[in-house]
Amino acid sequence: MTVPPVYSLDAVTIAEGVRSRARSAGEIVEATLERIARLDPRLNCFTAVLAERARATAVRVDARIAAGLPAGVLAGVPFAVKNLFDIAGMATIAGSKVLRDAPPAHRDATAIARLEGAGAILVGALNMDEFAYGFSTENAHYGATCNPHDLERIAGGSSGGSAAAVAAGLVPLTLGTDTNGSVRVPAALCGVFGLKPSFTRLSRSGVFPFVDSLDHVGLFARSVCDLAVAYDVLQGCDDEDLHIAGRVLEQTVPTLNDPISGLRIGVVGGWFARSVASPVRAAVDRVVSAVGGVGTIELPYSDVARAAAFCITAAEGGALHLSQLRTHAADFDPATRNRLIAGAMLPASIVAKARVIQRDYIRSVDQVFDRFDILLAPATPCTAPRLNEANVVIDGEIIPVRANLGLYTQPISFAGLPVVVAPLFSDGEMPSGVQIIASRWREDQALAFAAKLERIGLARAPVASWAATEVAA
Amino acid sequence: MIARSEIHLDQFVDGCAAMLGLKLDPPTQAAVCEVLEGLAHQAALVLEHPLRDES
Repeated sequence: MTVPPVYSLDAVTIAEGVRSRARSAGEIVEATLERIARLDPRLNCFTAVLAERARATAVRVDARIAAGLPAGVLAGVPFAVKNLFDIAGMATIAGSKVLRDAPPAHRDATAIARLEGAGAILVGALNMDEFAYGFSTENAHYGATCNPHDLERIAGGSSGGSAAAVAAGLVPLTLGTDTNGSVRVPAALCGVFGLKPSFTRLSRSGVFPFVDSLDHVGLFARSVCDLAVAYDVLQGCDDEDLHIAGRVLEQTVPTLNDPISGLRIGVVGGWFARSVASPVRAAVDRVVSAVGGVGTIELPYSDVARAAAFCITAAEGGALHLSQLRTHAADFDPATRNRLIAGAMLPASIVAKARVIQRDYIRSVDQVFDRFDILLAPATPCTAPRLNEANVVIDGEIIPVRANLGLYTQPISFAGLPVVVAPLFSDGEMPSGVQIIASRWREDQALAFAAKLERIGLARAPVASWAATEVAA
Repeated sequence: MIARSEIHLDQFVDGCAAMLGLKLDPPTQAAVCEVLEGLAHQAALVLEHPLRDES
């Protein structure tokens, strides 16, 4: 019988194999490190590979299994994190040059500790937009991360390294963060599943902030089951995070294959149906056709919600980095620096009004879920643009790429709702992503809906063909 | 409300930079003005939006 290569396996399959001793964690780690060494120079996903640490962790996982001890639901699963997560002994650079010489972190971020507590093995840190302020991962200091489905195109951002590493089969599971769309945009552009949970659901302890009032921890995988298993591991209270919601553990794996026929589904029109390129529009239509009985809904004043998110982001980001801007302005990417400085200058009266709008918007959007359980919307206006491409043409209109990739993600994170991005492929096109939006705290419903799309073959996240071919070569 | 075209952004940026302790060279100042022009569009949407209690 042919043994499938490690890169082709999802996290759950790897863990089953390690627990049953079909493969050791050590073998999985060596295969992963070899693949990263061979493919990443073309992709530029990793800013640090932690070979020594990964090998040491694998020894501990294998020792537990040899001793007959529980090894965890993610036993031997290699994973990597956006480089704004604290990794003990390393400076947390958050995509910047300014923090390159910062003191090393004393401990791992809570999210890393939880995944490793379930047997997973951290293998590295991943590229991102500087200080998470961007949607393209064309980093001035560490280079651009390429999209594994077309190396001439962007991976999206700001968690671009996280999405591309999964799409290329370098690791089956990664962590990222999402403030305005930084998990959902790269998941869509790279054709992988992404989960942005409800605001304050997961611990942000040990995660370098961008906009404290909007930041979420999120994750990427090539199967919905992997997302659910890892998400369940990440849940729970954390005394180190003062803002965590403190919800009881609400497991999603047991209900992942529940029927979705009872869910009331709506497709979001209005703001979310303007300026959508035809492949992305077709992806949403395919989902709507597949599930049937879908109503249409408009979320009120989403343009204003996006504008308010824009202002809060600029102001909070600017305030956070003000001291470094005063002393080390030359060490910033000029584009990031200029936006942060402008944000620091935004009058407080505008930011205060934006926060009141957020409160009202959350109330309005929550009311929509009196009539619906799941809302569907495009994740991005277009498929992955080319590297350095400034504009795209949609419906005959020229649209600046970087300012608009978060057009449909920003209002949803502003409301703090949980979202799964389901990737859809069609012949000859780059992947598109559909946002599956659930009501607050109902990640289980969004995941069950995505799992249904996966079961019927509509949503899928194959290893990029370039990366698969490279292995055979 | 003051029309955006009437805002003297360069003076505004000068004043803010002084208050925030930022030293901006002319190219950076021009770039920041450009970003603020874009932000002003978003800010106008925010300021002109009627709140629930006001509508």
